[in-house]
Amino acid sequence: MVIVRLLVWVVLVALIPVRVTAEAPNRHNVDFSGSWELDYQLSDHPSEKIRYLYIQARAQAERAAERAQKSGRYVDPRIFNVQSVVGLGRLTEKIAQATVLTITQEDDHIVISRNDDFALVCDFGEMGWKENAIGIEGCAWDEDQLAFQIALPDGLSVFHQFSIAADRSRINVATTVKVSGVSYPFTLNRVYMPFEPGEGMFECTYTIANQTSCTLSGRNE
Amino acid sequence: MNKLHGLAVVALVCFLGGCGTPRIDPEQSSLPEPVDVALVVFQDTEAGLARLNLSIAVFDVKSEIENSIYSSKIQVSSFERRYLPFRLKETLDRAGFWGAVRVMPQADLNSEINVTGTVLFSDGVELRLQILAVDATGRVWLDRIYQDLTSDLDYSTDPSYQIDPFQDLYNRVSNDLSDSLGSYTKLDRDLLLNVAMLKYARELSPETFGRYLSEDMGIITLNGLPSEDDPLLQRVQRIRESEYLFADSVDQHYESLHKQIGPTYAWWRYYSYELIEGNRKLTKVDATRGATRGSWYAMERIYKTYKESKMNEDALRELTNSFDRETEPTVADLAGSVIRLTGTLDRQYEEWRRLLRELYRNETGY
Repeated sequence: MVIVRLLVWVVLVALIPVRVTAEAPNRHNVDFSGSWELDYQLSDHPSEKIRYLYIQARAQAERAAERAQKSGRYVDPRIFNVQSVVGLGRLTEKIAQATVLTITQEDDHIVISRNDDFALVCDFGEMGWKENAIGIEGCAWDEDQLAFQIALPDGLSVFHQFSIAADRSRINVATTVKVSGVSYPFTLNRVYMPFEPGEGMFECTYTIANQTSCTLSGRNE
Repeated sequence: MNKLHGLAVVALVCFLGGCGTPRIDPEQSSLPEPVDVALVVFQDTEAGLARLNLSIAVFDVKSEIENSIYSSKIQVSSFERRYLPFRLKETLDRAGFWGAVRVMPQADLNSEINVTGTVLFSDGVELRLQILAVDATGRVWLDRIYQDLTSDLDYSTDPSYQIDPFQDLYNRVSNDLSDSLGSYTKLDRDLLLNVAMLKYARELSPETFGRYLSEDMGIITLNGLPSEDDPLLQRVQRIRESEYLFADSVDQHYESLHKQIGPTYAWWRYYSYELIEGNRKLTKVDATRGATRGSWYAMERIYKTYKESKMNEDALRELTNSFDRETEPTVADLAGSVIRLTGTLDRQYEEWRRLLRELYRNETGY
């Protein structure tokens, strides 16, 4: 059973472009910590990007089909997989849906909490691949960028690359989704700008006994 | 070429990062099936035999937590090492074979039997403890690893989760201890009582009481006994009584810790059980959850299943973060004056022993 799982992981890892390498230190001392909200203006608009890539892929397919026709060969249009652009784009949009990031970073780890989504956690001391209940995941420093990679069954792989402007005015998160059998990956760039969780906001804490309790301006609600 | 490159990288990644494959722990590989163990309770056939006191030192934790992401788990461990001995104490009390059973911050010189333990592994699913029981003469009664696994049944039988799901483990330790005790005659028990008393006296005044005991390779032999009306021995006995009072006060502290944080811990353990089991179940399900393989809907389902498992991990981390504990200062009565001891119980205990030695010197001049 263990050997079968090991083989599954080896296959999964082999199928994804390897960007997570062994422990590269944070030698640029990059600090992502803080509260960040989506900058709609600078971010990719998923529908527009999907439409653009769809048109491009269709044009490419048509040209290839035309060339094939001229040379007297039949080419099945399905091999161009144009519809996949839409599927891949929609999936990427769901994966990169977060509009707020709350990042805590210490010397030895980073926790990137995303609204309505799971947190991306990287232990800088153990940056290799780790097994999760469903797939495998890893993180690594790529110069001054922090990369998270997830390999899931059926050849689905997700890659998040975090980079921050030198003046800390923006964070860019490039989310790339790749599926085996679809030759082109889909990348969505989401840009986040800093914000201060201001006064008047509810501050909620979770305790085991009281579950979630929220305070407003220091008063128990 | 690309494939070869891929495999080479995989081999390197596997070498460096363990490839995320499950590590096979030799101890884990032989996990026992959860079994019900009934507690053996004292039947009144040994009436007349002296009851031996038993002290359980706060457990050690085999901690491998170095990264601050998991620092909150340290808080849970910190509570567990105090809580688990208390559950064992409760079980030993219920079994009824012993005199006073106390939980102490350190191994207790005063008692006839000392139990120490190490928490090797603990979560809502599995508990693994190394238990060592040594009597006052240095004879080892128990040196074993105990394991217990929980099941849905352990949690579902108690809607408030106050019945310990690992009760079988404590029952097994208690049964093993009472089994060892069964071979002890009245003579053996009296010997243990005397050795324990003289060890305590020797701690206070090695010059006076050291000659009654000899030690070889950790085993203590009784060479003789002081006269019962020896005034120095009577002073030692009086101070020992004070020590008992302090021990009871410390014991009460653990009891109140158990009462205060026990319910929270029980919930933490139950939630952690649910989350760990939830993720274990997810490893067994088809991640596509019935969708046609290769379809975009199937891809979405796979990602959703992964997201669910990650949300479980987040919830467990948040749950652990919310776990906190408080220690209260201990108030004790020493020679008519109320002493307020603060700091960790371990420090309080050391301070208390220092005060007792001082009191003995003041009274006896030794």
